[in-house]
Formats: sequence, structure tokens, C-alpha cells
Amino acid sequence: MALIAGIDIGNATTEVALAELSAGATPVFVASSIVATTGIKGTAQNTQGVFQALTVALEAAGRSLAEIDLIRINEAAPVIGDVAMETISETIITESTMIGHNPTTPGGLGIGVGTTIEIGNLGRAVAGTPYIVVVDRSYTFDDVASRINAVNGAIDVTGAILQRDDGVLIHNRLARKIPIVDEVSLIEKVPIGMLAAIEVAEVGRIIETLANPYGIATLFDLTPDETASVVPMARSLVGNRSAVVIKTPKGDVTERRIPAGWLQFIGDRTAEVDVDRGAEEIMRVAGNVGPIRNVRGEPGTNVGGMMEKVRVVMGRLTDRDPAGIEVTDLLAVDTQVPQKVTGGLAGEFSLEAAVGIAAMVKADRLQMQRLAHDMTVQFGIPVEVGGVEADMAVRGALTTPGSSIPIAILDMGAGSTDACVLRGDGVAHSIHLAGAGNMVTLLIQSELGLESSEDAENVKRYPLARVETLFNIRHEDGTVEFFDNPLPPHVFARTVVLHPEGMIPLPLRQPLEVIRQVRIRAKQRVFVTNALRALCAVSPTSNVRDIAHVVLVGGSALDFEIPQLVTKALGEYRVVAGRANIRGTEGPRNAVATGLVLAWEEQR
Amino acid sequence: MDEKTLKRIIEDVMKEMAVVGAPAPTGKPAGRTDNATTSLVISECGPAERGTNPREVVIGLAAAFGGRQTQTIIGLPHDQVLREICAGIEEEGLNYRFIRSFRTADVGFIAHEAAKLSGSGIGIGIQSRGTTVIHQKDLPPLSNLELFSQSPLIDLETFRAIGKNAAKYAKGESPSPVPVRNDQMARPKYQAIAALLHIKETQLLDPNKKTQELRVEYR
Amino acid sequence: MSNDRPSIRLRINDRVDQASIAEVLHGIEEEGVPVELTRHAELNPLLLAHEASLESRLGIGIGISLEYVVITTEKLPAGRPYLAAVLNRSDSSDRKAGANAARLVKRMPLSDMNAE
Repeated sequence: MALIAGIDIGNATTEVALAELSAGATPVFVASSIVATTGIKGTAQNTQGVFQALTVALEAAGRSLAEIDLIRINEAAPVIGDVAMETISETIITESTMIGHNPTTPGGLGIGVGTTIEIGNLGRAVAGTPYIVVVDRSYTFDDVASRINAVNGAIDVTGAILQRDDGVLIHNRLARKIPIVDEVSLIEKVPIGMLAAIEVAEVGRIIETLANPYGIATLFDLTPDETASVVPMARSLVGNRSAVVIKTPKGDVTERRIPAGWLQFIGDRTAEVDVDRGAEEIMRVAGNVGPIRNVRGEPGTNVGGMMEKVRVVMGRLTDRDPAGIEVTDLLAVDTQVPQKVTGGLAGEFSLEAAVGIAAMVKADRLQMQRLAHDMTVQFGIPVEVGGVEADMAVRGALTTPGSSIPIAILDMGAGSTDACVLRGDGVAHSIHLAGAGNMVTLLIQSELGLESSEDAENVKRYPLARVETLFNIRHEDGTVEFFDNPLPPHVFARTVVLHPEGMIPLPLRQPLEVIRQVRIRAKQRVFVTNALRALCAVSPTSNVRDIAHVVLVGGSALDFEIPQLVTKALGEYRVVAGRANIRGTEGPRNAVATGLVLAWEEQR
Repeated sequence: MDEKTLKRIIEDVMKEMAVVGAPAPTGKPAGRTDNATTSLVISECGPAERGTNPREVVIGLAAAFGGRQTQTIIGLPHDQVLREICAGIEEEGLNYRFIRSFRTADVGFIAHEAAKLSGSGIGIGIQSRGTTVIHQKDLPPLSNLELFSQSPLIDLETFRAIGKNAAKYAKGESPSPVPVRNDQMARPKYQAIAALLHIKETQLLDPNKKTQELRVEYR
Repeated sequence: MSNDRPSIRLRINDRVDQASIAEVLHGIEEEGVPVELTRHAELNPLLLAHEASLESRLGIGIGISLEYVVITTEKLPAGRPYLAAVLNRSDSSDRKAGANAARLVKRMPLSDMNAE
């Protein structure tokens, strides 16, 4: 009886499958293990991780290193993927107007139209002209209220714009109530002596007049051309509870496209596309050149820089000239990114169009043979390189109960999504695609406007909950969980991520359901898209339906919802898809390691 | 109380407040119970037979349960686990009996076998680490009525509820499923231990040995 | 004096003057939650806050004494209040304390009273 170890050295983890093989019998797997890979995949540093993984497995099986007859490691095809985000639109306020500012406690109610005047100059105001007072932080609310009350009846004050968060305080002390917008941080930029309009809606409601171009036209008596020019402004105010619009001679809100460079796809044909045309257009062009042989990005742009980076990293890894390395796949996804508005007065944000791009390079082989030789010497046990990684993965995947040929495996990693299909003829076809876990994290980070990618990673991995009271949270599925001790102040009333080590509050104002949808859509737009792309590419008829079974392996297959999203999407094609269950016990882990053992057994 | 003492007390309170963090939502695991003085004595009484009593639930134990292994992955003693499940079944007015499977360590198959042998058609399968399934004889083996796959999250209360629900299914009722805390990080966190525990279970497998009827005693 | 409208109850020690609690009151007012003020001989702000929370129909109480402002809810024991800060550290921190008491009622996220 022989004791064989199949070892899969991956980018992130090293996995072992330990089996006893007797002549003529199916291998009996006695142990599995998984540890973090040491060093970059394919280099001498991997040996430590291999040794550790072996030790854990041997201990579980109650055997010793000396008893191992053979070690088989995978023939790894290195794949490097990277992501970048390009914003392709921007909103600029060319003169002072406010958009997107939505203070939590404005004062008063209704619409006020008047000429802006600094509150200290109320004494010089003219009777009969309506005014809107502009108040910086040097005035206390008492003072502001008494000044306005003092001119009541003589001067018509129709609204107020404040720097301090004093809207309600002032409102409570006014004899005649007016709408008030507060928390305007750059109050000094509000132009004085101009016609302005303020609108404040009731609690829980949104403004109706300033969010309507005809509403603005009515208040300011605009010409049709002028009305057309206020459309971007009105649009950006939709959904706000309060707003201020100031009519300045050059006042304008413009939305511009930002040139973000071109991408060139080289296949059977060659085609170029500007990134700022958006993801749909980019992918359409990419699809028209035939099988992609290389992709180039315009030098000096973010996208161009990203392409260079992956070439350089791969060059280092495989000891080749980066210029000769080809980017063989690219995934573009349309998204929106909250960006600070240029020219804004209150630190407003606007959702800008953006394109997320993932690119990927691969090489044929790493120096696994050299590694095998080094390990043979070090362990004193024969170490051989097994067959092609994709083949091994498929063999391992077939140990999932309920699966059969033709079968496709979808390996959803961090940097790339890899697929391999095995049909009846015994030949395996594989493909590597750009866009995987890292892209999901980037999309989540961008769309939520999170500063830290760690927060984005947490949102990706763990479910959400809202802290409702001192003693309970409501999970995203609606269930309520109670605690014996009060939840600490820093999470009170916040949306939190349920990290296993504790609740992490998110610095976001969006409601939980919005965050949840961002998370789900990011996973769908990367993994469901790539699942379909991969299966289309490896199917003999370029038709997803022809592959009956798809099993999901890899780190992202462990995610709490990605496999289900893929299962659901592929189900519409009548494809059986789900998280793998290697040997009925390992889940999506250990496919390659298991395959290495089985393949050896087969060839004996 | 004088002012100084009072101030000191308040400062202590404030210092303590600064240290508090937000707890992990899965709650404390049950841990070792100090009052576990009883242990399980399990003996085999021959091959398990199909029951005819429609008021019984059959509990299928994996190979190492209550023998080579004596605790679940979070340290719950196996005797307490069985007591809870049985209490749940008894509360519903039904009987139970135990079998042990030697051909498979898969909790779904164990549960399904238990269901096929059960007079009511309802069976429970438990692995040493705590993973549990409630099954029904007419369902395909890979399906189930209820699945508790995250062994670190199953506490004694949940085992009681599992027993209760199994009995309810046996009576033809449709109970609401036992609430399961979701913690998908429990799997990676306990994965290595679970793997070890699983190996210990599979080592006791014997494909030639028929499923045995068990006598379970608490001593 | 005592009226039935649901409000936050604020108990201050006799020695505390009205001016020093002004910003705390403004913080509550800006958030739009009613508050009722009473004066007491009790020196311990923890007890003041605790009793205030029991009295408040909104279940939130504030106790101010010995240069501390303590905010708590009726569900917590006196010795373990929910929030506490030093009074008059700055106008802004006083306002935040008041605002936080109101936000506990409104179930909105709290500001960090210690950040400046």
C-alpha cells in the first residue's frame, strides 16, 4: 500500500490531499489540510508552506513524513490580474450654486425668494425688496433671530442661509417663520446681491419646486434658453429635503465627460475604443475582434498604467521581458462613484459615471520542475510535477456527489476567474478571465464611496445588520437578534458589518438595503458575467446550455452568497451549478490536490 | 459620600466605558460545562431493524460519536447533546431509538438511513462535531428537512429544538424551522478542526459493517 | 411643572448655573426633541441621570453635576450609564452631548463627543 500526497500550491493557499493506494482499489483519502501559501506561487519559498501543510495532514492521519511514498505537485499556470477605476464624468459648478447639500436639520418650511444680503448689512436694506440673509459663524443664533425680528414689518426677509448648524434654533425664535438652510461650510462663497431661492420641505418629504426646471424658471422668470441651462441643477436637487439656488450671471452647473484614454484590442482584427464611452461599448468592441491576443491602454492614463503593472509583475515572476507579455482578457463594468463637486459650497458629492476595468495576463508555466527537484532533495521523498492544473481540478471536482461529465469547473479567485471544461472525449479546455474577487471589492468601495478598501472587503464578505436599539440588531434578512449587554455607542443606530470578531460600523449614510444591493450587484456583475463568459467560451457550441454540470471552486466559492447568485443565473440555462463538494466532505476546497492523487492512480 | 470619592467613581466609570467594543454577533459558544459528570455508555445490540411504531424518531450517530469522540466542536459533551435531543422528542410525546452507521460519515446519508429505519419515516443524523440533519425517508438522500451545517453554532438549546422539530415532523405537523445563526466565517475559522474531527470519524468506518442498533446509557 | 408631553428629562444639581448648560440645551433643541429641566440637591450625576431616565416618558435622562454630563436610558443600571462627557470642554462638545441624547430618542447615529 502506498501513501501519496497531492499538493496544490495556489496563490493564497497550499492544500494537501493524503491518500492510501492499494493495487486495484480506489484511493482511500485519509486526510486533507490547508495552510497559507508561503512566498509567491512557483518559487522556492513555497517549500515551507508545503511542509506545514503536509505536517498538518500527517498528524490528522496519524502517519509520519517517512511513510510517504510520493508527493505530486501541480503544474501551475500563473495568472496575474489587476483592477482600476476610471471616472468618466464630472460635475462642475462654474459659479456659486449649491447642489446635493442636504443638511439633517434645516429650519422652517416652504419657499423663499430674495436678494442675498449679509446679515450685518440688514440695516442698509431697502423696503419692498425681498431678502435672503446670509449668516457666517461669527453670529450666534440668538443674535441672528433678534436681528431678523427687529426688522420684521419693515424689511421683507424671506429666507436664511447659515454656516452653523442652527436652523431649528433660529426658526424657533423667529416671529415670522421662514425657510432656513444651514451647515453651509463655505459660506463666504455665496454671492451677495444676487437673486436666490430657498426651499425646505416637511420632514420626510422632498422639494418640488427647485427640483423642477420650470419651477426654477417661474421663480426667476427665466427665458426658455435659460431654463434649459438649469436642467442639470434641477436634476441634481431631486430627492433633497432642502435646496438653495442662486441666479448668477455666469452661474452654471455643467456635466462634462472626462477623457480617460483609449483601449486597443488586438485579435484577428484590431479595434480601438475610448474608455469614456462606457463599459458596454468597451465590451462590445472587445467582442468584435475575435479571440483576444493582446490589449493595450493609452500610455499616461490610469488604464494604461494598470496594464503596464500586470506585465511588469508577470515579467518578474517568469523571468521575461514585460513588453512581450500579452494581456489576454479584459472586463469592463459600468458603475457610479460619489465624487466631490468642484465649486461646491457645502462639500457636496455627486454620483459620477465611472468604468471599472480588470485586466489579466497569463504565462504557460512556472518553474515548478525546479521547485519539485529542490523539494525532493529537502524532504528525501520523490516529488514530481503532476499534469496540467486545470485537468487535476476537473478530476477533483468530479468527486462532488451528483456531478458527471461533461463538467465545467469555475474557479473564482481574487485576481482572475478560471474555467475548465471536460467533455466526453476526455480532453480538457481551459480559459482564464479578468475580473474576480478584487474587482468586486473595488466596485463596492467605489459605489459606496468608502475610503478604506478594508471596509469594502468587509462589506463583501460579511452580512449586514442595523443596530436598532441598545439591545438588538436587525439582520439584513429581517430577523432580530437580542443581546444581554447594551451595544456600545459607536455602533448605535448604525449599519454594521457582522465580522466574526465584532460588529464594525460603516461610515455610510445610505440605508442598509442600498448597501446590500451594491454588494449583491457587484458580485453579479463580476461573477455571473464571468461565469457566462467562461462557459460560452469553453462550450463546444459556444452555448452555455451544452454544459450540464458546473461546479464552483476557489476562495470566492466560499463566499456566503456568490455561489447562490451563480447557481440562480445558470439555472435559467438549465445548467446544474453549485458550490463543489470535493469528495463529499471538503466543499470547494482541495480539488486540485485530490485530482493529483486520482490522476496518478489512473495512470498506473 | 464626599465629592472627591464621587469624582473618582465617575472617572472609573468613564474609563471603563472607553474600553467597550461591540460583541461578535454569534454569542458565546457553550464551552466546556463543568457539571458534566455523566458520560455515555453505548453498546451495540445487533443490526438495526426497520421500526413499525409511527410514534418514533430514529437518531443516527456517526461512527465516533460518544465513543472515540465525546464532545462537539465547541466542547458540548455528547451525553448532554443526546439528552437535549431526546428531551425535545419526549416533550412532543414521542419515542426515540439510536442507531450507528459504519458505512458513511456523511451526516445526510446517516440521517436518511435513520429515516428509512424509522416507523414514522423521520430520522436525525449527528456527527461527532455536532453537524446535524433532520431527514425524511421519501426525500432524496442529498436533500433534507432541516440542515444544521455549521457545527460551531449549534448550542444545547438548538439541539433541544431539533429534537422537538423532528418529533413534530413525525406527527405530520409543519413546524417552523429551528432558527440558525448564520456565521459564514464559522466555517473557515473552524475548518481545520472540523477537518480533523471528520477524519477521526472516517477512520472508524467499516464498509462491511451493517448499521447497528444501539443501547445508550448515561452513567 | 410636570407636564405629560414625552420629553427628555434633565436633572441638574443646584450648584450648576444655567449658563453652563446652555449649549447642551441647544444641542437638544436643534434636534427637535422636547426637554424638561429640574434642579436637585443630589450631587452624583450618575444618580441624577438614572432618575431622570426613569422619569422621562421617552426613557432618556441626562444628569449634570460636578462638571460631568451623563446621558443614560431607563434600561441601564445607575452605575453603567450609556454616555458621559466632561461638561463645558467646548461649546461644540456640549452641543454634541445634547444632540446625542436626542439622537438616542430618534434612533440616529451618535457623534463622538470626545473628538474635536
